[in-house]
Amino acid sequence: MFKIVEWTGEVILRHARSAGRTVALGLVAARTLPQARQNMRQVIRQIDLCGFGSILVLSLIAGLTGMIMAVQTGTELLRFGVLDNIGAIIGATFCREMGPVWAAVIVLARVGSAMAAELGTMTVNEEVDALRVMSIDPVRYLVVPRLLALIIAMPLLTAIADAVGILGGGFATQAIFGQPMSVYMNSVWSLITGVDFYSGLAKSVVFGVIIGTIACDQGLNTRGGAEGVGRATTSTVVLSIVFVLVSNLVMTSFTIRVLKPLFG
Amino acid sequence: MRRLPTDPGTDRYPPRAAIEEWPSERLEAAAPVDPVPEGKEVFAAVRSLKKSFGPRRILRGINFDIYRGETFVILGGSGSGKTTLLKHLMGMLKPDYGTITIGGQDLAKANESEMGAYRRTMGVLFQNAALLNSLSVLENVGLPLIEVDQRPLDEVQARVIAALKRVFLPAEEILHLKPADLSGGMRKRVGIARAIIQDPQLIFYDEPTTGLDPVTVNGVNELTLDLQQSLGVTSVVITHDLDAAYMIADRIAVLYKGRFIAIGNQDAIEADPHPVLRQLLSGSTIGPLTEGYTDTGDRPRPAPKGIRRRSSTDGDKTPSASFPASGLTGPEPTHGQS
Repeated sequence: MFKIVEWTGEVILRHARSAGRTVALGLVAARTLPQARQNMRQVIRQIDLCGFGSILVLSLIAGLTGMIMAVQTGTELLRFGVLDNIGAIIGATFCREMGPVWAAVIVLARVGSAMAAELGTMTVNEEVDALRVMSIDPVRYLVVPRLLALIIAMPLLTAIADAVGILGGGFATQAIFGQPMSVYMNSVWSLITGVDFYSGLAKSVVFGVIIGTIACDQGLNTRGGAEGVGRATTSTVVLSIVFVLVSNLVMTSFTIRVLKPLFG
Repeated sequence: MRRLPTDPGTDRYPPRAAIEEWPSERLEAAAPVDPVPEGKEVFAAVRSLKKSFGPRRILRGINFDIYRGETFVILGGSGSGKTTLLKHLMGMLKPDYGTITIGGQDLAKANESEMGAYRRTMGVLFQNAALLNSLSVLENVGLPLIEVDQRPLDEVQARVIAALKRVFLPAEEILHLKPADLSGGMRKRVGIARAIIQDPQLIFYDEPTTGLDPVTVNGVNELTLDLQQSLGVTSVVITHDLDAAYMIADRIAVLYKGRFIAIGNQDAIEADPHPVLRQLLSGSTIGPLTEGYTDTGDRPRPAPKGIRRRSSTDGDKTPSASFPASGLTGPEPTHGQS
């Protein structure tokens, strides 16, 4: 019995310490962010890796999701004779939720895991120690360019996911239900507001910060060789998806309850 | 160049009974700090250094001096605390207790800017060179000049080329290659070039010859000696390669269970009868270093092929004579007795 209590306590403390360490890394990185201009080459390289490298797969997934939504939703709307509203539903869903969440999922799976693996390998190979003994701050040199790249790339990826998802839904609606694209797009514009679009972009920035901070923290705290790198990568994906969804719930509630009434 | 040991070797190792004459407190007793010889200047002084990680006591009271301009080699078996000690000397770990004074600066009390100033005076060759794989040789070697000193690129390139030539690498040919395109020996040399790029006063080498072929090992050792002699730097080398230690060391310190059990030049180390030292020098599987890991009883086992044996020169197989030179019945050891 005592063993179970002891074990539970240890697990809670370990996770609390880990969470505190991640938050601390995020704060230090935020403080160091202005120094990123010293390392713009790294920032551009990271934007290339996480931004442009993700466009194709994100577009494919967003487009397919838009089409699937159109098929599923359109069938039901047609039964009730309100198919004209399909554009509004798909447009609002993508701008508010699907765009930022899909961008986050693709980036955390493709980029977050790679970041954790790269930094983890650097840590176990003593490359991070080498930076420290050369008086090069690993947070400034390694973490800040990655975080800044995600902060820049995530809204762009989200906007692309929004656009491709909505267009995918439009093509599917036209192909399956015969609704003209102009009708579909009118429906899209009828419901979407600036708050929907910009809140989605703001969410994606927060998701980028969460993914980047968790990936860098896990990578820089890797222990135990190749096995440790694998553990860091897995932890990054699991923790990122949990915290992305938790923060999404909080931000969605805030948008619906506070921003929507204020700005429509 | 200092001499490499040449010993004929024997088929026998110290019998367990002889080793057991050393009670455990004598085995682990720390070596005292020798008085500073005339003409030598203390560059680094470590006193009562202790470090634990949780319940594991890694360093248990270490005292030693490093003299300016010497090559100080730290020998020890796996898990003896070599790397932890090196990290303290590099300022990457703070001691739980004790002081580390290098160039007049107490590292335990230094703030960030003082540590930064200290780190600019040192260079480090890590075990696997620790080159950044995403950067070219030019960027790797010039990294401290680019990131810390923020020197212009043409100056960085000129200094990198000079450093690479200093370590006998074809600078122009490899300047834009990535570390993955280099051999293990070349990576080590690039690592050394990075360590000397800021003209350090102190260079740390962490297992500089691990994983290299014998020819490259000799090349790295000669380079270490050459740098020490031509640049006049103080060098601290962590290794378990005895040949390398004998070749490059002015003094050797032997670490065992978190304490130095012997410090001295090659002759003093060879003459020291401490059983741990004897086992390290002989490569035997029987002895305090492998206590509990082997099941050999009192049966002496021949050394595996390729392991150098150090034993008596007269070929006498009596227990006392099976220790090299001094043996247990030989001259009283200079260190390590309490």
